[in-house]
Amino acid sequence: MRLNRSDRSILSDWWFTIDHLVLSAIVALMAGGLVLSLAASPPVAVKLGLEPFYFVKRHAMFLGPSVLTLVAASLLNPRQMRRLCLVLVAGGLALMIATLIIGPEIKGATRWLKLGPFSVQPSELLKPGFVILCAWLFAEAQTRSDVPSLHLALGLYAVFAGLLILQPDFGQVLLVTVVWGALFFLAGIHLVWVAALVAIAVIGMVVAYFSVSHVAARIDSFVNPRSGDTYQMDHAIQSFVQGGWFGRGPGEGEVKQVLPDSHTDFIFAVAAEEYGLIVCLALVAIFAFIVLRGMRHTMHEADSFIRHSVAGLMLLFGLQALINMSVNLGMLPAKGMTLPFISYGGSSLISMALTLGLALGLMRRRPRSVSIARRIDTHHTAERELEA
Amino acid sequence: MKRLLEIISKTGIYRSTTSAQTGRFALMALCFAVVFAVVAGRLASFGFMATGGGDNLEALPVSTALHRPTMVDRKGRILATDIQAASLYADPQSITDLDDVVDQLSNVMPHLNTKALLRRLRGGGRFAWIERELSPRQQADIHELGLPGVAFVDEHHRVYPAGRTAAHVLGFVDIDNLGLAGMERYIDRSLNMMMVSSGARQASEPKIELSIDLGVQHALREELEDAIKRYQAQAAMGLVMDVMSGEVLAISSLPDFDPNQRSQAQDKGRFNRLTAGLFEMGSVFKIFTTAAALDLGVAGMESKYDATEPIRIASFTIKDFHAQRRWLTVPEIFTYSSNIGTAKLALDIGIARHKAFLSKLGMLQRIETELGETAHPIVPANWQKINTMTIAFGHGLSVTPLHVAAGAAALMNGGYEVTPTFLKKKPGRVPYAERVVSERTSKQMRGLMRLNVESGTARQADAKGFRVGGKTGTAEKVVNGRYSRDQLLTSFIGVFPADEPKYVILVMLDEPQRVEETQNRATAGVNAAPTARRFIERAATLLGVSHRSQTSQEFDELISASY
Repeated sequence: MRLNRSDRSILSDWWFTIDHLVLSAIVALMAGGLVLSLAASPPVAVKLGLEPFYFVKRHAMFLGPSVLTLVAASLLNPRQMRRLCLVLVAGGLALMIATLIIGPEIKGATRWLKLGPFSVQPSELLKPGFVILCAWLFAEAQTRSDVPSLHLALGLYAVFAGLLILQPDFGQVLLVTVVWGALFFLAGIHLVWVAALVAIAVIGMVVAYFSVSHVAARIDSFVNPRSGDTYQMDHAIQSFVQGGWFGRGPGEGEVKQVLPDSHTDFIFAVAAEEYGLIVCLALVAIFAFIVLRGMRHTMHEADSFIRHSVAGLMLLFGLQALINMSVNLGMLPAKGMTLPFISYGGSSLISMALTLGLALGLMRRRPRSVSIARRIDTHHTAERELEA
Repeated sequence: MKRLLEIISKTGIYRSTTSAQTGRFALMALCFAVVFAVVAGRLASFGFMATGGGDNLEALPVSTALHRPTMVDRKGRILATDIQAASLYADPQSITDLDDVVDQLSNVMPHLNTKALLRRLRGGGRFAWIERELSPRQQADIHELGLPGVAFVDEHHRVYPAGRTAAHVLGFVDIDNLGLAGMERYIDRSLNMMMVSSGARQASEPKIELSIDLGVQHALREELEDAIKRYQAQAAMGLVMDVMSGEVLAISSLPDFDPNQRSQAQDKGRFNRLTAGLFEMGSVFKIFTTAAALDLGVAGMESKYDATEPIRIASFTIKDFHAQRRWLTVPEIFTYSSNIGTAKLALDIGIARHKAFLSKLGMLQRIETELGETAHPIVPANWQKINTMTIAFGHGLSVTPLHVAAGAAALMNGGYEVTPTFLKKKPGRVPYAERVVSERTSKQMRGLMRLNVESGTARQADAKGFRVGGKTGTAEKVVNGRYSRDQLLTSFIGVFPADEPKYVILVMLDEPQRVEETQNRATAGVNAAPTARRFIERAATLLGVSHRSQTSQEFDELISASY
């Protein structure tokens, strides 16, 4: 298929306005994820009594819908995105409530909902929608005082975080809190308020430490390795040392035989052992590239909604990658968080495709005239012109 | 505190201008950059840790040595078994002074190629074999040296106590104890009996019982070795098979190899000629033509054929070696080994029936047996009258000697198809087999075979008391596209005892010379046949054949009827 710049069809328009470098980086991550799942998932599948390539096949199966989600999301204009996200958040919250009531308990948490042969994690799909809505509300709050945007944003956060605590999924609570707080910060709140929010967050963490035993245990064992069970972490770190710069070679890894979640939470360690630190550094570079390129875009973007949204989505993506890699590297206490596009998990894959699809869509080059025509908030634009 | 709250409530939530906001976005980007850099730095620090070396020897990959089942002969004597032997390896990164370590090691193992070893140790990586399969003495000496960075791992090492004796049946394994040839290969491929070593051996381990009888095998091999010396032959082959069950009790193809020294096995000429070699078998093939003619009723014992003149067909001339120049009966054709008579018998059988008969005996197909080293016969693509005439006396169709032995066993055992096997079968349990010739034909054939030993070309095969029957064959080898008069392949296919058949024996000599002992002759009757006799005299009692000078009366009548 050849695309022509004069051709104004949806697809060619998309192709010539999309950020090709970020798109390539995402495709590289997806491909890398498939290759690494070949290394990391067979031992887990065998342990579970499944055929060795069960997870690889499932992973490959999810790639199709992920690519579709990525492209479809990036085709939307901001107004359509907001509508989609409103639906996503409403539906997602309803599903989370349903999960609490009818979802099965897996590893001490009720996060999944059985839908036929798949189990869906509603909170994963809700996250990008939550970010977009919050970004919208914060952007609105800067310009319009007639709508109680801030209260809505706060309310949305409280409901989402509350449901996550009930599951319980403290890793996600932390992630959502940081993203929400950062968005609030980016919206330009006064530093005194920043200090107040940080104080609240610290109090929240202290409360969590004393009230939830397994959080306490995780943190204890991190701060003082001898006090608790650091089995997973020790093996993860061992694999980085064993792998060296160039790795032991595909299939030669041993740590994947011992780590229980080698195909999800600890896939980075498996990659290190088999493919070496160079490949890991390349992965870090790709994540950093996507995030920093997104952040650069926010610095040049004039539209308040777009800059907040892109920043929020990049926070979601970047923080998740950083937290996962830091846990693997023994820099943070263990918590269940997937490495975007690399770890196994259909919900996580689709959620990340949606996240970056939305970001890609928002980062598309829009001629100003077109953007005025396409964007809904005409009075937004008028105000900005006045400022200028 | 109260005051702080006041300040907060008074302060507007937003402080921002667009430029201040952009600053915050930049700050966030910076934070991300810093954290990503920290993660990358941590990764890199692991890299330097790894190359900095450590005492991680216990975490090294150690190949799991596979443990193979023991193979025993049909009487339970060990033919192949695993013993544990230490192998020495190094973690080069844990060695501070490579030269010193290699120097000390070479004191214990003077044969070490120090230069090559140093190159391998310097090649990077954290694992390098130094020497596999050490003797206990070497292991103790190296242990005494107390070198850092080198360690032992116990590996299974295959030994063949009987050495060369049954080399071709057993095959051999590679350095990782994987079967590459013979029954060793069969164990890997078909039996799935490999066991992951768990230290101590258990008494209940399964053993593989081969059909081979080590004593008989030894006798056969020694007689063949002796024959090579006597007749100055290039190679010698011998095979003993149970006529009923198809069990191969002894099989030897010289030159052979010592499976304990696997590198020998790949030498040219050491392959198993009996299963993988293809030969135009010559006159021994006449037993099949004769049996076909008798079984199909084409000819009876009294039928006569004109053997006065050689047959000329196309550019060929079919002549007799022991030319009688008269009409011959079927027993005479057999005992004088008349090519002319046999060719005429085959013509009377007809091309289609001749081919069908050979196919039924398995002569046109590859033999499916435990050994992988078997060859597919070379069958003429366009089977004409001339092919039937020459194949009748063993030319123009190349088969393996194993084909001939299995086919002969079927003719001798009362007429049932025989599938050769190298695994011991439970005694007394003969599996259902197709009938290939009638009981009567089988009996007549045994009579002819015995007659041929009593008064035909195979007289020198007559091991007194063991009632041997047999047929000789002397084939001219094809050299540079022509049949050579001097390069011969002589063979003897026999059965003993002929009156109550138990075993077939095949002996073949490649290029025996005209020596004094044979009155300067080199035909099968003076070398292959006496070799078979010497073997039978020596091994018949081992095989449970009792010595009796007379054949049964009924059988004698059969033979005299053949005259």
